[in-house]
Amino acid sequence: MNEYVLRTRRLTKKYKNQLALDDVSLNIRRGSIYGFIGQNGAGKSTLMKLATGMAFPTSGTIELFGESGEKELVRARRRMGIAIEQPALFPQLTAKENLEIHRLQRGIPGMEGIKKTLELVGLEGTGMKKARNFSLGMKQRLALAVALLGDPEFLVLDEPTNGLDPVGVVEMRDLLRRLNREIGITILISSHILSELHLLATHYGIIHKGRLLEELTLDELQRKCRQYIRIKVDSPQRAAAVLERELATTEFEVLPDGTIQLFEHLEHPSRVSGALAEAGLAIEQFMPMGEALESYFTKRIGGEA
Amino acid sequence: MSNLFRSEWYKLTRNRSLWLLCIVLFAAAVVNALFVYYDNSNDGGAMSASSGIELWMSSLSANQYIIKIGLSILAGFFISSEYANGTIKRAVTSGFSRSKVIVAKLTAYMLGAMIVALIFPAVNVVLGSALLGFGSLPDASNAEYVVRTFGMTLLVAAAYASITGFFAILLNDSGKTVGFSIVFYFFIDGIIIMASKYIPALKTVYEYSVLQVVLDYANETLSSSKLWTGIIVSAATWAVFLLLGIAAFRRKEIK
Repeated sequence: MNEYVLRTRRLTKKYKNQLALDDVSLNIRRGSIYGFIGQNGAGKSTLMKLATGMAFPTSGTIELFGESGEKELVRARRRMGIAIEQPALFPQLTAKENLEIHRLQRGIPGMEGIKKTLELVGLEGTGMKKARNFSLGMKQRLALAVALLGDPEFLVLDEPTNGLDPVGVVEMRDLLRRLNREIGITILISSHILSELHLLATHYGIIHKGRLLEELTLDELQRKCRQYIRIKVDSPQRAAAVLERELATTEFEVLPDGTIQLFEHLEHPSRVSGALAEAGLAIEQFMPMGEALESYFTKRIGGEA
Repeated sequence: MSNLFRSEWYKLTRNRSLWLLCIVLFAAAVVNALFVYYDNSNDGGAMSASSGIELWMSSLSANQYIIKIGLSILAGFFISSEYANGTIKRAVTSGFSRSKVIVAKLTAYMLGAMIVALIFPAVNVVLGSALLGFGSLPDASNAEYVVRTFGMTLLVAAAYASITGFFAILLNDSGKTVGFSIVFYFFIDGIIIMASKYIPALKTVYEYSVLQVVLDYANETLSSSKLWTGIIVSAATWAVFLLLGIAAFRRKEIK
């Protein structure tokens, strides 16, 4: 089984004179929730459109489930569920009829899947109500239901929480997490609400002006965004022993240059500095550090944090 | 492929513009047949048909407008509207090749076009025969005429569906498709005839085009060679525009 569901190599897309994607090499591991972060117009939707076959690359390659041939890519897309940009629905049809079209198209046997999927997204009670009379939140749920019908292995969701109320956002997040953890569906999700992605994604890609600036795991991101006290003393080994003995903590890291990053006792820095001073250590640096995801992202794309 | 077609057929049968067209054409045919029944031409009336078969014949000559306008409306609301709704994305990303996706859509549309093209004459002949009797034609066999014109109606509808479907793929928007197709069909004959004064070859092209076939196929005295020309021209038009539609859709980026 291939380790990656989607990989792109030097993917570039040009619209007339505008470079929408520039040399993007992206890797989405099986089983991950890949949060795609970028400003409006950064290239998130363009990449999704290329991956799903809605648009064609100017250069570069796309690999889905390990397949990269033209016909194989088309076939591989049967294993995907897609909701890109505004909910793609037949407004004059009911939720059930919208799903029935998808069921027929994919050759999914029986009607049981439709019922189950509608229950899963909380639209089982919409009856004969036409999709055009749905709220934006309901349309988003229905678009997700369409994407989920047929048990996809890979979901591509572009701003799926747009238009949802706060409760809806939480429900959507819980649902996606459940789908990922319990069924193992890999998810590529874009959003410009970073706090929301931070609560969901296991991997991140930061895109800016068509260029993929960075890919990182949740651990790596947390390390970068984590609040800590930066300590520089004359003897890091002794300081480490003091932290363990006097402050009963192992939540710190000694970096190769001897700097210590302490992730606990952030509320009581004086206790830490006091313990180090009492042990006779000369403190050269002692300062709280770290940043929120928003400020990390802003800094990464070249703005002011 | 059959899955795609089943899905397109499902969409077609739930398309409100198809139902609206069917209802309007059905009602128009009923009114027309009743007019003929109550408005006796021998008694100063304006309607000339006096039997079911004559009603079939007269309704076929009016059918060219139904084919041109009706199919333009259907193309706009069955094909182009999918771009506005975004639902074309669902088909394109369904894991089938673009050629199969658009062939399934155009096939369903073509069947819808055939239904639209048949309703008005069919209701006229059925209701007309019930009210006035089936009657007979002076210069042709009833059975031969009905079979020939029935088949040609389907074939001409398929050819026009292929052309209008191609416009719908190119134009992406219901309003543009309906507007452009209607304007095109209403002016193209005049434009070609006018241009043929300067480029005489255009006259020959026009005579061997589906634009001419739609005007002639209901003639009671259509010669065998003209019939075969009509069949070949309609089939070729259908095939050429279907291929053009496939080629256009294969290159189309979905926004």
